[in-house]
Amino acid sequence: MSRLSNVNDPVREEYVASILAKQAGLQFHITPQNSRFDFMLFDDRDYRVLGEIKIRERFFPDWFIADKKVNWLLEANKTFRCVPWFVIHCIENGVIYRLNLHENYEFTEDSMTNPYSTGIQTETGRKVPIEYWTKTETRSSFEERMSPIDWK
Amino acid sequence: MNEADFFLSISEILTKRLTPEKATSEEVRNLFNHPQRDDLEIQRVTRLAVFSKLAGVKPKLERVHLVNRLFAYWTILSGLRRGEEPWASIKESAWNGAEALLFDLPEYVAKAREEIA
Repeated sequence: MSRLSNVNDPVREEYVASILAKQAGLQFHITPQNSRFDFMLFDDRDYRVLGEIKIRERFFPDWFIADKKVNWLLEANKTFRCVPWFVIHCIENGVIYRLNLHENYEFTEDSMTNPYSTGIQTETGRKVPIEYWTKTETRSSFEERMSPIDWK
Repeated sequence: MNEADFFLSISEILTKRLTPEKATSEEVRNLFNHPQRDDLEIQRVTRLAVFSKLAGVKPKLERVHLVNRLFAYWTILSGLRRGEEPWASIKESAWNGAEALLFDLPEYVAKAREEIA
């Protein structure tokens, strides 16, 4: 059993959502902390995507996604008919990995301990190999110092 | 309209288990066959109503036909009353959605909120 290493960083989550929204030609909204999901993408007419964003410090050849998150997103999207996305932003390589939970993908069942829990808490879930994720390279500007054009 | 009967059977209506022939109330039967009833529109306005406030956007529901708004409203209320997901874990957004859908009938929502809370 491994330990989850999620980075709690709302600013970075917003950055990730903005990249995804721009790519999809949609607007984005990040939900308040402790909401059941992290972001949604929408246009003037409708809501298109509900999703979860996880920030991981290190790269892994497969990404763990917790059953409770996956199950809720799938259940919610039966009702809302949005597209359920699970998104990982890897700090180490600056890549955003995106998985549409409605698409076919292979996985191995696994469990992780949650280091942020006060007691010993195990999360069951699945590890999805990297080849099933859609990758988006991000510019490193998120990490760079402020430039003159960032002044305003 | 017999709201109690309709409310009890809304999930059956939406999952097509309840047919117009089986409906006990004439008003419910009429709603089935209402020319403006549109299942895709019901889903769309449910999404708009529930998520708009969360996104800081005012949903444009004024031009949505009352029949579709009612179906969307009853979908939300049915889920809240039964404590079903996804409604159970996004209660506040669900109530905001219910209020947005019945903007012209706020007393219905207030009464339901009192009953279910």
